[in-house]
Amino acid sequence: MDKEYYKDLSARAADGDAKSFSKLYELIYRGMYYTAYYTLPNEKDAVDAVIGAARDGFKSIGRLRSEEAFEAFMMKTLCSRIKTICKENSETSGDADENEIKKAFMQLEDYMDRLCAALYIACRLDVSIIAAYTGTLRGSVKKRLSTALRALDLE
Amino acid sequence: MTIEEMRSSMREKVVPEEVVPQNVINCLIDDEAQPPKLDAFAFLTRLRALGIGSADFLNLLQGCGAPQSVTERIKQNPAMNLQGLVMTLENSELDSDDYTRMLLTARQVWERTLTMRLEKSERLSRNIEQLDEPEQEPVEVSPVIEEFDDYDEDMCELSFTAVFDKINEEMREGDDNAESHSELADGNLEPNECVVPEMSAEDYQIGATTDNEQLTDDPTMAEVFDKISSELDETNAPASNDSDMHSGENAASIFDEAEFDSEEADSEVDDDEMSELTFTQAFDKIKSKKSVKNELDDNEADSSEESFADNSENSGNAAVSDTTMLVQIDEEMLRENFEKLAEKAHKEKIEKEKSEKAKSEKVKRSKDEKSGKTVSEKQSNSPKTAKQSPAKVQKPKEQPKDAEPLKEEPVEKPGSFDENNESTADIEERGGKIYHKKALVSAAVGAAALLCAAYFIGARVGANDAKALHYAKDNSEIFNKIYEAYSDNVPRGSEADEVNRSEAALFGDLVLDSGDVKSIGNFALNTDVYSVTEEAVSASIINNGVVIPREDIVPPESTHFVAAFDNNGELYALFSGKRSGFMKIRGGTEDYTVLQDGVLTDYDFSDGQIKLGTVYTPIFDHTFTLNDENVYLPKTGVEIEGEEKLTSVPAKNIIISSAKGYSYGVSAGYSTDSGKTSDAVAVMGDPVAASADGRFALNGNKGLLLKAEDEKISSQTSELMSHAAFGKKGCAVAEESESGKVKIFGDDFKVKSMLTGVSEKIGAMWFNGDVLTVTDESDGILRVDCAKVEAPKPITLKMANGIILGDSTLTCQTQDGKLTITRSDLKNGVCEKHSEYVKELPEEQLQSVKLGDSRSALTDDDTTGISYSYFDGVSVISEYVVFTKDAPPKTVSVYDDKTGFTAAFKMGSEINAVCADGIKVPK
Repeated sequence: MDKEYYKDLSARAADGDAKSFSKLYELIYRGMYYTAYYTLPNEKDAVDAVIGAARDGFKSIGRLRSEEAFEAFMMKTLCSRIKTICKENSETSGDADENEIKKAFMQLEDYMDRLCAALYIACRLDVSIIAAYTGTLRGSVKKRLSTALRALDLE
Repeated sequence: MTIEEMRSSMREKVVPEEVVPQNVINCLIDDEAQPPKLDAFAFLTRLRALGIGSADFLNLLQGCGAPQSVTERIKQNPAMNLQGLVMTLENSELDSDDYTRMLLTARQVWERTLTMRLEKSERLSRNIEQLDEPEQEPVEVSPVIEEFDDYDEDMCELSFTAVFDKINEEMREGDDNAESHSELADGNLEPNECVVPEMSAEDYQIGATTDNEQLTDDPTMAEVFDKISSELDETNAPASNDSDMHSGENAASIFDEAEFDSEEADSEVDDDEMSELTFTQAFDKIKSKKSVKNELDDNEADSSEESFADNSENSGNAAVSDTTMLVQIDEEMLRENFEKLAEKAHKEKIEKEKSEKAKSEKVKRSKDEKSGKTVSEKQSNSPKTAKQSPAKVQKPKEQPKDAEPLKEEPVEKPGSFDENNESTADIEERGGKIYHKKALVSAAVGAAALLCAAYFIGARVGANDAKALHYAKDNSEIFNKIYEAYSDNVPRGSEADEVNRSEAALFGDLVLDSGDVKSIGNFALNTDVYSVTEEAVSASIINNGVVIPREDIVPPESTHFVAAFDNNGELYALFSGKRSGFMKIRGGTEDYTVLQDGVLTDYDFSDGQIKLGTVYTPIFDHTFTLNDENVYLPKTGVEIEGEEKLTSVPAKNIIISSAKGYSYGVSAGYSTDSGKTSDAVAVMGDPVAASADGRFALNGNKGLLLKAEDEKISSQTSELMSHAAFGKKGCAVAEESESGKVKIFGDDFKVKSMLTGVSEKIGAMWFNGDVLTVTDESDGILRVDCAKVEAPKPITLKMANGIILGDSTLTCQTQDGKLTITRSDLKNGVCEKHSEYVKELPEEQLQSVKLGDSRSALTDDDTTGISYSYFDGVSVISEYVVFTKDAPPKTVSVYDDKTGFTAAFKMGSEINAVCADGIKVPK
């Protein structure tokens, strides 16, 4: 997407234009969904997290300091949502028909491990960005990723 | 498993419908909203967004169990347009669940297409890296060759059949297949399973050329869908043959999304041929000529990919029939444009052919030396290859003659989009994702053509904005324009300036401090007393000396009151917001409510008629079926006792132009007796303001002021406008290019004068009679008397504490030891003193003076009554005073009254004031 167009959309979204917001959201929603899906035990929560993050993002996009930081802004919002859901529903069971990878993720007991791994694998984010999105230290993210990748048997 | 493999597996999960942007946008606007149930129109629109082709559409219907009658009907009606399709689907047994299921299938196909592209690109990338290594021994190289060979067979020769077999296999076998993939990656397969030992370097070279060619065609939606649908056919429905699909393709021409036709791509495109082409055909031809791709950068290409499909669809419709013409394109202009493009493409093609010929000869020589097979044999086996990808054989030309083909080809082979390597590197560098290349290339071509088309069309429209103004023939013409706006994502138009938008209450040259809630006015009409604020009309009725409060009258939902006036003992309260209109109130209750779509930008009361000017932007909340032709028209009408009787402004009264925009400026008059609509006229486009009497300001390529008088339209172009307002004798326009200036136009739309030094950030602009009010974003207010448009006179504004009473105002001043209450009447845009009441008070008491409840104030021609209160050090004294121009004032006071004076009414010639202690008569 053209940078100027992106900035324009961000500005319009910040003015409450839902259509512009949805265009920006279109760029990242798959990443958002995969992050939520592979972190949260059941799909309904994942959908709720993404929609909730979109709502939260839309409501508070006026506070977005840099027009170019939309993705970071949304992903932070999502991570915050995911954390809340995980804390509130710590004993939620997973879906019966989940795929193998989801099952492997769910073997990770700590949701933060799952979140870091999902961001790292599904969204191709590097450690420092994951640390920023999840509000944790880089060292902590590294440790979690190390644990998660080993558990997922990844090279 | 590697991270890449896991990533790709993770992304195979289909994203649920609930989180796709189209559904989320609804949730953004309304927290409680659920994703809408799909109807036929939404279903078709979403399919189109996914790039589903016509043949695939039929397969989808068949595969998902649509009634045969539906598919047959579509097949048998080649000229069926979108509306026809919608009707057909709506009349079938298909319901929203079926649409959802079909859409999900389509989405799965779409996502798999993306995954396949990704996989293929990654394979290619790996192969490039491996083949680039110069020191590889033949034995070590063989798996690479094998992979290419495997790729060649699976991905190229068989197009997507094999790929889909693999996908289907994966779907059936699940993990087993994943394991086999990992085995393949680890190189653990038996040699006879994956290696072709006989494959020589020459074979590889030729094969590479074939690969390149075939790989040029990334999996299209249609190809992918064919496979999935054929699987569906096997299990769910009778298989459809090719001819069926072709007829379906014609039938569902609305979904012709410019699929790449390799045969067509092969054919020559000459100038003559181009000149005969329709827009769609020409578009396809141009698309097949990828020579223009370098004219655009990848950003444009990315964003234009979808537009390309959309536009070609629309133009496809245009070619089908007039009734399906959703995009009106000047074909002459386009043809000229395409001729130029085609000429360029033709020249490039000739050059390519020449170089291809030279290369072919070199390749042939090389093959003759190293293999028993001849190039001609190979070429005869793959005629498309040589023709389609002339650029592919350019690379060896640059290499030494004796260079190993094996080393040359891998460099060339991955650039498998019939592009040269320079372009590949460029795209890789910018995007870092080679798998987007095909999309970028095709989108770039599409964007180039669109860009040219848009330029020429735009230029044409710009020149003819004013000339193209005409009244619509029928609803369909407007409907098509609306649909076009919807399809093209035309942004919402300018935001109109609502009348009386200022935070403060304005009265002539007075800016009245109205407190938290903006007071609009107080009215004492016979025995009815009203106090109008933005939020409500508070009404009280005086009956036999008893004040009977009535329920507050509130404006319709999402609106607020902006003005009020009285006539013949009736109150008219005008409102604006989501809709505009006015309420006729008498006897303390609402008689009727007139409604007109849009934001109120002007109003007028004369000759027993209230006229309203509004700017209305419809919200796309309905489908676009035939039944919805009237949905997006502006509506006017009346609501009586909760029942709305609204009618659309007739199409023959709506002016349309060639400028983009789907908002309306609406002017209509309403009888004050019954609220009946008369003289409704509207203009469609991007209106900035609408007057109450049929004048409009709208933006197109330039600004346009127009007046609709009977059936005549007079207009005048101007610069693009940021704000506009209509007064009785002219209009004021703030142009985008000249901030800080407001031009005053006369009735003939000629500039008569100009205001300079106006705030650069105008917030709103409107007229009250001849007085122009301009506010800025920081609540600054400028008022100018434009009674003489040639010589407007700025009005010196005065701040005051007071209230508005119809055409009068009462202000209160406390200074020099005196309380002064002044009645002023509005004359020529400024307040003229009518009478005043003065009372001397000690300074301490003066500081505690407050005007009483505004509902207690009333005026008639000569007499004025108002209450005030002050603290004398012991008690709160509430006093009601009645004063005239000449006679001495009359007063009545109460001490520490619970409420003070809250109302007043006239009984005979005397004014009675109401307080908690009862009714008091000033003496």
